Amino acid sequence: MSAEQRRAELEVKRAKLEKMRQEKSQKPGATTPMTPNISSMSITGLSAPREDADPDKILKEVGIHQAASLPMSSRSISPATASSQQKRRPPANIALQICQQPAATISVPPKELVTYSKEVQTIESGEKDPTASPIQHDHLQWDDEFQPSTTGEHNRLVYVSDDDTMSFDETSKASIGMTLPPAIELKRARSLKQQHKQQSLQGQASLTKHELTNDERDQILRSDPFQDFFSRTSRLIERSLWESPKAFDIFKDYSGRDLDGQNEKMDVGEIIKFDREFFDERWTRHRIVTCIDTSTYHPELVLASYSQNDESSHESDGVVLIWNSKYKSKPTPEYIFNCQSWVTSCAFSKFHPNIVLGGTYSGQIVVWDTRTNKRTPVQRTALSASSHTHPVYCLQVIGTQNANNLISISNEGKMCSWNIEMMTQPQESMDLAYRTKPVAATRMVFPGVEVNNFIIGSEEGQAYSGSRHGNKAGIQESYEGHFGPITGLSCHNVNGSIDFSPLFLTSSFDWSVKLWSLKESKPLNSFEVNSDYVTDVRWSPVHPSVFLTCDITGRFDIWNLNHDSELPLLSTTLDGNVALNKCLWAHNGQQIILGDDQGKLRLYGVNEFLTNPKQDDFNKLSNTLQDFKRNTLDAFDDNHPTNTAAAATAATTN
Amino acid sequence: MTQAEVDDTLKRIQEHKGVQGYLIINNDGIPIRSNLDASLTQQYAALIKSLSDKARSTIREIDPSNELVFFRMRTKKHEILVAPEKEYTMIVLQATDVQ
Repeated sequence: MSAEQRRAELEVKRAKLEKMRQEKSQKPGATTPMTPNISSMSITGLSAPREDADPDKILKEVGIHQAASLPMSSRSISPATASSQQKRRPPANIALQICQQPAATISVPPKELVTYSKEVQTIESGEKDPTASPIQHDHLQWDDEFQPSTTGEHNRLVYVSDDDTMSFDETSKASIGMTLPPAIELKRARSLKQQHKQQSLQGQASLTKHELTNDERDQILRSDPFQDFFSRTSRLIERSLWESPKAFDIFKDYSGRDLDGQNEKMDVGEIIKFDREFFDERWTRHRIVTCIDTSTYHPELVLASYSQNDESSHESDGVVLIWNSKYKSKPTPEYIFNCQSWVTSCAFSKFHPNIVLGGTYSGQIVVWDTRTNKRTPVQRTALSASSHTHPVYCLQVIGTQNANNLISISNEGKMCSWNIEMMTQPQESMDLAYRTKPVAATRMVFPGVEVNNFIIGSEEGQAYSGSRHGNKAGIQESYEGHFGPITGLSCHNVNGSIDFSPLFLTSSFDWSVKLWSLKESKPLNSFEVNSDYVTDVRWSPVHPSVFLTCDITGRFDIWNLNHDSELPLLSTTLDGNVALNKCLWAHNGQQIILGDDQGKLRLYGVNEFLTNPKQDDFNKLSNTLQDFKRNTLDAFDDNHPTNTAAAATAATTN
Repeated sequence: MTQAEVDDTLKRIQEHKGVQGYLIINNDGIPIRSNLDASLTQQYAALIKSLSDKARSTIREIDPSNELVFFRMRTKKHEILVAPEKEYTMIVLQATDVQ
């Protein structure tokens, strides 16, 4: 009669399965709580002889704490396995569990595959059950319709196969045999399963994220870590993209020709050679270049500040960009910095490799840090009467690594010295006045490594020299000669056999460039080849007699006083209606950088003979200076017969 | 960098000569941003991620103080530039036979 009993059992089970199927279609959410129970059921079902061993303990081992349903279900299992006639009708959710029981043994192997997350795949591939049902193989693909649906599918499959109990037995036996090793290994399997379960949940979670990416994506894109990552890697990628044409050549190179030969050397006669230009459509269009600086730490970095963009008012007024001249074709700046009012002067901090300083039109001095990913300043000076209230046209970092200060001068004649770490208040401030008249400074230079004495160019056309400390703190001497505001000021700074450091050059709106010595109150020489406002003048940092001027017609001249003191060595006018606003020599004197009023920076390489001074260049220059002196004295005599001594000499010469 | 600038930069990268596509994935190998089609994206995401992990662990094993910063794989048809980072990875595909 056991066969009949068996059949009755099976009928009951089948009925229960049907019921379960119905309930499952109503309660899809019950699947996940089911699966852990399934494993527990399977374990408890198989270890029926051990059923007296605490099922709770076993379940807890597996990591499931479903205290409420557990005891009932475990209790219900043991009688079910023992004798089917004792099957009672437990409540709805547990009915599911019970009915799952026959399925439980089968669902274990698919469950292992269910935990097939991407990370685990390579590890599991060795252990994978090759004889597991071929249906399971299908779910190894990395498709979107992955785990969440497969658990249901498996269960469905199981139900289907359950009709054919023989086959179900076979498969279950096979799977049991393969996947449920003896008790000793059971624990390890369990812990593995735990891992897999966790990973599967993770995998599930990641896959659900994968499906919901739109919102999460936006969130990620806006998050800070992503921004950091993106600014770094986009820079990397852009650089490698832009530089890879050379890489192509390396690979396609059949003859192994020297790639360096491609960089043409300049002809002997060619004094300058166009290298590249820096222009950014968004940030520099319609803006005037107000200041240029190069970094002492990384000579290929060029800093440029720009005026406000009148055309588009929604862009920030103050823009400062750092360009990299090493990458010949990358068209985008390395760093972009913004601030509220337009930047009138900018400087790299000589002693801090990551600090960029800017003086603005509003009188604020702002500090940016390249280490942060922010585009806005990390420090700002207060807009108060103690600091500047007029545009800051001059900024310079002076001092040494340990004791450095930032000196700034604003248009009202106030000179402040700051400590870069603490910009809330100036360390000291001084009002510059010459004979009770405030000096409206437009340019300031500390010659060489001076920290005390400085030279200032003003709006009225005079240059002044002064000192910060000492008995005569303030403006001491004035140098008169220009008839218009001084736009450029440059001190001689070449170390050589003869020291020309008292020399400085000024350029002005009065169409002239004048050469001065600190000791003389009258200019040594005046260069008047320009026919419009001269906007900037710079001595070469390596050659004692070479300097560069630029003017508002787009013309820039390179002068070599040893070659000719009347005419420039090279005079070039740029095409188009550009006006040059600033010019600068690179630290090594081998490049010049010109900024114009359309936001473009142009780099030119300079021929060798202008960067390598010969020994006698210094002597030649001092001779030239002597000539200048003689000329000025003669001119002085001619023009000022009222001077008695001069009149005497004039009389004698006449 | 605002969202728009991120988009701008990606557009610039995409329009560069030879670039066939880009892909940004997170730690789990899930694509966050991509302009390739879905299946290719998935493939690249998973495959490159595992390769990148392997490369990273290789470098780490050889010298624990070192870390992988960037690598490019040059194949006959493309060059794959990968910039792996702690949390995200950026992958760009560039065709090699552009000339």
